[in-house]
Amino acid sequence: MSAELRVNLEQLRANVRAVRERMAPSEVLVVIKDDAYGQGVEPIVGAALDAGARWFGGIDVDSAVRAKRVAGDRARVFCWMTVSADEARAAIAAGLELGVGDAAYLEQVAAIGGPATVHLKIDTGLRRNGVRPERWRAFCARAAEHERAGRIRVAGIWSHIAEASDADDDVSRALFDAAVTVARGEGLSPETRHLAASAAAWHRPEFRYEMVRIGAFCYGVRSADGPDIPGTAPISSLVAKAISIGEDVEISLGAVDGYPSALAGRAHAATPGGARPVVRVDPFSSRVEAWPGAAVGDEVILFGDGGHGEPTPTDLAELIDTVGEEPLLRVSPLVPRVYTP
Amino acid sequence: MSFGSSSAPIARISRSALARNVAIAHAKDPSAAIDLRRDACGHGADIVAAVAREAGVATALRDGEPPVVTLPVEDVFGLEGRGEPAMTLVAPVLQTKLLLEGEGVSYGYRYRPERDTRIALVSGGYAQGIARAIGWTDDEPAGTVAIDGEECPIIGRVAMDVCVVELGDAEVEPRDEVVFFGAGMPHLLRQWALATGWTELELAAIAGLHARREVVA
Repeated sequence: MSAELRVNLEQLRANVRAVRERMAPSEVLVVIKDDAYGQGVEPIVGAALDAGARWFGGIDVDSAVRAKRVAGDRARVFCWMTVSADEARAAIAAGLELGVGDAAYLEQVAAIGGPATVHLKIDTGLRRNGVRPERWRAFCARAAEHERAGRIRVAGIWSHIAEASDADDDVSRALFDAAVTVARGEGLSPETRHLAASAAAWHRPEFRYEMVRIGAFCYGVRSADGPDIPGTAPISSLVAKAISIGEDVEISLGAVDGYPSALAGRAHAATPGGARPVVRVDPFSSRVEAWPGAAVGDEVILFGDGGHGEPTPTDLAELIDTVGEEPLLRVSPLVPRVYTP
Repeated sequence: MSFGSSSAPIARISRSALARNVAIAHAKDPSAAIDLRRDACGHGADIVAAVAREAGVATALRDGEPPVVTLPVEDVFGLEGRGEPAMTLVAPVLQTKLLLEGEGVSYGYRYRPERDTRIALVSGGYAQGIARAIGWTDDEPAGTVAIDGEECPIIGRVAMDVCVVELGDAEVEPRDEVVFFGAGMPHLLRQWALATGWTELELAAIAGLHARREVVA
């Protein structure tokens, strides 16, 4: 296999700087879940630290622990999956702060002691993790008891919003504000409120509070059907090589490498002869329309920052009704990641 | 059945299903090689090579080697209605909660239940190869999972790391095991293929390459 994912760390730094500038004075948590969106936790965290990042976060314990190992005391790291007691214990021992959005999980985390630094999650409509509003007051009262007993420290209140519409998100924000008021009434004093991710945080200042959690825009992935984000660009390119030349050019990357077969006949790729349609996607290779002088070993860019006429991850996603993160994260872990500093 | 202490999805590879699939395919084409490319499409090159060797398959095709005639990968891995699924993808329930009539679920609120119900937050999303498009919307059914034999719909958009499943009356607790697709339930992966227009092979392979792997008898 001779495909690779080329990750440009200078572009990552530029993106993080652009995001930090836009969000100031709110703090930016750089989301590094799932091995930093498949780009590699260690290099991404290192580069983001250079660009001024002071918070990282991810849902999975593994990515968060690795981020903390790189960042040490230079950054706080937040981890938000409702995990098993064993995983929670390991996360606390590694110095992570935990997202807690379930009454039973609160008891598990408090029982570990530590004390654990936690961020309590209110469900403001997404219906995933998070305590429903009608159960929130009792949940906060219980958390305050644990805090007084020294078992936990409540550092934050947070939620996820559904981004179904501005009006729906406004409803969520009102629920969020009400939840913070209830928490304070129960004797908690969380210093960090965080509600918004990339799109809402960028476009709607009233959603920023003390901190925003930004994944997509740090990696240069714009929202599907959304505008380009000034000062940012995709940090990585998926590059394959021409392996045989016939009527079409066969390239060394296929559906089993994470390039969705439904893109055949819809997407194009950048070749040395310019943009060409992707005519076929097989399991282990694909076919691109030929260009003059095509030769074995020529590089073909399936997605990237658009600099050679290739689509961005979000451009690809829009062809198959998904979001840019999906084609980016589908890239097989077997495809080597190659970094330019 | 309760899940272990980690919350990440597991791709469980059945040695016996592989062995039966390989035996049938090998009988049809005794000179064909076993295809081990891309870590045997996420099933694990080591286990697939071992099973093929025991079945009498003499040659293998690995990444970077010149192409040879191979046993069809769909036959070997039990995909597209051929053979038995060799991979079962499982993950734990993280949390259960109430969902009231008409409340939207997940990004875009694309699903709203017609009556009060219970839902489960399940580990696994499109970062783990669980395609974003396989959740039910108000307009269209799509993917289902099995929890203790009970089939439950995936509702709303699958997120990057989690999805939401409607439980109805099923009795489910955190850490219960959720089957996304696999042994004895070939229709589950078929639902993914129908919802995405992608092949069963790529859907299983990308999930298998992102998951932890366990080999079972």
